[in-house]
Amino acid sequence: MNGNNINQQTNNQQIVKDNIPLASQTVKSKVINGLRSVVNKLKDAWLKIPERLRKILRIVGIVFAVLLLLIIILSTVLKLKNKVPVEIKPTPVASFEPLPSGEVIINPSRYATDSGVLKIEEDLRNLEKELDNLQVNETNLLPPRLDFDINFDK
Amino acid sequence: MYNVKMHIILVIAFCLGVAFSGRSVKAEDFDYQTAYKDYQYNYNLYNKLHDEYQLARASYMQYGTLLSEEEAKKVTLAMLQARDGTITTYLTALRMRIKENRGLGDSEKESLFRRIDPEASYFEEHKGKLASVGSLEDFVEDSDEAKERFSDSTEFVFYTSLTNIAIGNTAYERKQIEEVIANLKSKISDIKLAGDKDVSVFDRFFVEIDNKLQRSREKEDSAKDIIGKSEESYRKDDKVGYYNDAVGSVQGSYLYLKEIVSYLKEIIRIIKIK
Repeated sequence: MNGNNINQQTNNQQIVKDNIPLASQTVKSKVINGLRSVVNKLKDAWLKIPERLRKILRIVGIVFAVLLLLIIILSTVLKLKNKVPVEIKPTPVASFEPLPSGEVIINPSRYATDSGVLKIEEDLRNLEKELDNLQVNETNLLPPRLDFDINFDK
Repeated sequence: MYNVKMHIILVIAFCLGVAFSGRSVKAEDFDYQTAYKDYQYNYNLYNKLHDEYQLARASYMQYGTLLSEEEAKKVTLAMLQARDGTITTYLTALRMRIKENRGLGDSEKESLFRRIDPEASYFEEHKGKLASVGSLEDFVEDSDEAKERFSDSTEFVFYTSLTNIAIGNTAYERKQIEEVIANLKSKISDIKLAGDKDVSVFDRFFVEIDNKLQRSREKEDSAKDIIGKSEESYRKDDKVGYYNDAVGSVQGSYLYLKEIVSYLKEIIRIIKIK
């Protein structure tokens, strides 16, 4: 029973495989036939135009094609001639103000070198040093250790 | 004749020598450093004599001979004198430190001197009295008298002085910081008038700085309260504990000052950039 089913599936697969080239051939022929009919229609329309007008159209077409070709060639030549070399610019450096203290400030304001501001800054620096050196409880002045238990008891 | 001339020359040379080389230390030359050296000398002497006293005492306790008793008396007298000398010179060093302290006001200094001077006078007198006493028992009695005075009064003066010196140290720094703040505020007003920089952000900074200044003052007041209470408290014997608490409070004031300085530096930094 199972053997019959397997044989039927194999037959179906073979039929599909055989039909694939036939399907692609019909699509191709349809496209070719379509194009052929468009070309034939254009040919008929062209032949319907009077002989003198056809000549003029031919000359105009040729002149137009030559002009188009010339424009393309000229633009290519001009592009090559006008090609400006790329200018290499150095990386912009940030402005800075070196101060007497040796400190460097990036993007300084006009007050970075103001004498009043610098004086206050100097005072602050001195204050900070004083505070760092300040020993609040003065450990060197702590009370002496003295012996008050004097006795000669045996 | 030659001898007479030689004598006159020698007398003149001696007089000149006395006049020029024998300069005594003037009162204005006496500063904290000199007072501190005096104290260190006396304290070292006391430690040396205390070691000798312990040896002499041990010898007397072991042998009990007249010779060992004489030696014990001699060394104990010297040690007790050195102890009094140490206290007197220590009080003088404290006095000079207070005198030179730029953060304490004149009235505060006077108030401390009124407490230091009687203690120094007491131990100066005590030292003079020691020379007249004779037996070892007399020395012990005299030492106990000094012990009582030291414990009841002198030690409080020590720690009160030290606390006030610490307060004066931070108060002086705060005074300087307040001057810088005034200058900075004036500069910022100028910048505001010029109108080329936005300085509105600094208003908040200065509110915070004023808060910290206030807290710094409060910490110092608290230190004064703590050390003031130590003399009335039942914890009278824990003078060092009170002192540590008081100095801890002054340390808090000091930390506020450091924070203020960092805020001021931040303001300057902002002023200097666009």
